[in-house]
Amino acid sequence: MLMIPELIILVTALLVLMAGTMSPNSGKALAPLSMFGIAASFVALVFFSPQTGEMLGGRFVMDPVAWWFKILFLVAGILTVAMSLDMLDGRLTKQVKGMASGAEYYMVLLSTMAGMMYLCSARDLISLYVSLELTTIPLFLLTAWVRDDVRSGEAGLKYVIIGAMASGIMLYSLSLFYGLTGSTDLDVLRVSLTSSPALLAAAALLVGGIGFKLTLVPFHMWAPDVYEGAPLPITAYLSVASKGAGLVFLFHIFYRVLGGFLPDWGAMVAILATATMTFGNVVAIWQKNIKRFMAFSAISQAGYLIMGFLGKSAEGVPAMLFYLLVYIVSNLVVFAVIIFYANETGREQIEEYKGLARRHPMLSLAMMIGLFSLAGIPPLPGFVGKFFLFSVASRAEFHWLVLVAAVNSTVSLYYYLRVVKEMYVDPLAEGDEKKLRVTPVLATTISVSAIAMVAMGVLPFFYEWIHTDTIVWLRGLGL
Amino acid sequence: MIESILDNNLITFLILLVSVGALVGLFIGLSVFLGPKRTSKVKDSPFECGWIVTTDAWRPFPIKYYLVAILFIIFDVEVAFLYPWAVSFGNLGMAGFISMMVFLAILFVGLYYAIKKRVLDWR
Repeated sequence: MLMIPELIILVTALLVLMAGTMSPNSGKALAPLSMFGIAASFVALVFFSPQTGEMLGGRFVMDPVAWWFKILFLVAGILTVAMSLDMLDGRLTKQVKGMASGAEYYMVLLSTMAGMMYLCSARDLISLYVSLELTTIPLFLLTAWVRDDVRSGEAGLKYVIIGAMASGIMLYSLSLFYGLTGSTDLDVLRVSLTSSPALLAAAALLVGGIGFKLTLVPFHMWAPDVYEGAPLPITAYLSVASKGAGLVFLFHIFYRVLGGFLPDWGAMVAILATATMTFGNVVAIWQKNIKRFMAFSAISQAGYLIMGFLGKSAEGVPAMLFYLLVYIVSNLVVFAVIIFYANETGREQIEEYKGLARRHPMLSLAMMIGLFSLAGIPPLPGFVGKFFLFSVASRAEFHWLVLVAAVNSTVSLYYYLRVVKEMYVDPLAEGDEKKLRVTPVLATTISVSAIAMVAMGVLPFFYEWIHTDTIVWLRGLGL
Repeated sequence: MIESILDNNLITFLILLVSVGALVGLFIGLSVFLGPKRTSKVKDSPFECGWIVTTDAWRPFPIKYYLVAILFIIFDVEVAFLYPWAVSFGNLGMAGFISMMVFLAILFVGLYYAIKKRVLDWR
């Protein structure tokens, strides 16, 4: 049974919802229950699910790339639950007013995870679209979760409006695909599409619609406001998971459908990547709020991620998968420390990180490693990931893009170092001498993921795994 | 030549569109330009089934209405699924029975949640 991991997630979502209403003090059991569900789904996926196969008449297909994307989403999900736990159970020094109860939160979070996992396996325009909506609509809710915070409500509203517009654009593109071929099956589309102006329009609209999810410039406008307003764990989740969903969708369309038909999409991807990473980097330099700062950092990282789509070589996909894995773990380490600091002090400005290294040396170290990994400093995994992506771009003969990306990495180092400078170089502010306490859950999350992150950079076999798993299947696609 | 243009469905549709627009525009235009305009306070007030209007329509009303309406929609759709299922129950076999039970179980979780959250508690 290929669908077991998804079904486990959905059943867990329903169980959490029921458990939340059982008794008033069941609140503390909900996060462990959700984490157990995600872990069970992970085990089912890794040990009991084959890497290839199909069911429901080819509408639900498992292949190595889908398998790896599902793994990444489960990792992102379990880390997000671990980071949300303190906030929802009220184990905060600085209380957040108006947090609704936890059962619905976990239920909605698990639904969006299920949506993303179905997205990996869908092989039909309609099921792709429905899975993408199952991913996105719960995220609208989660963004507006803090009832008494005006910023959260505003972020939710903006996200709904822009998300609806993006969905509309994408649906228009999907309808063009259907109109051109009379079929919604991706494999049928692949063989029956012929080059025509309408196909170009469909591809352009699709990139626009997905660009919103991936926060590609010029479709990024919603990201800073939404990231700033959303509760911190959800910001973290949005910055990794919603990008992953966009990448999966783009992968389906680019590799499975349009692979042979758009010889020029390399140039378009290169231009989008250039605009995205340059804009994200330049604007991130000026940010004062750490959430907005991470939003622009996430925008520029999306620019690196889509470099995996360059050229027709199959090497791009494992490089992209590996960088997504690295990015998820590094970004979530950084966000976990931001959450820790916000939980204890309620602070969100970058200059308020002054002297954090003296108040909690270990967590500052974790955050520094995370930021350096995002900037791409060897031997951290960010460097390895970027190396593979840049070599994909160079093999596709986009040497200028490699130059732009390398310069951008250097620029990004400047603003990541700004945070590190606040933490390590600047003296403590008045009245901040008290040591900070960290909850056991967050401490475990941060240390485990920081160690995993360093291991991914130092040990070479993570990339080997992804590469050997996916490359044969990808070559079979005719790449 | 003219027949081949008229054979085209799009042209027929276009003619229909234009003539409908022209006809409607003509009637509204005639009544706007030729009809007498006599206004009074009673005439300008909104019509409420013959009752005297008490308040503005834009007023807050209990959120319970929404919740009950949403619940109604869900169970309405459930019935729409149940009827064809019940009619063809004999042909569907065990697989049909199990899938419908799964569907009902999911709906039951929703109903249980709604009852526990006192949505149906009208107070």
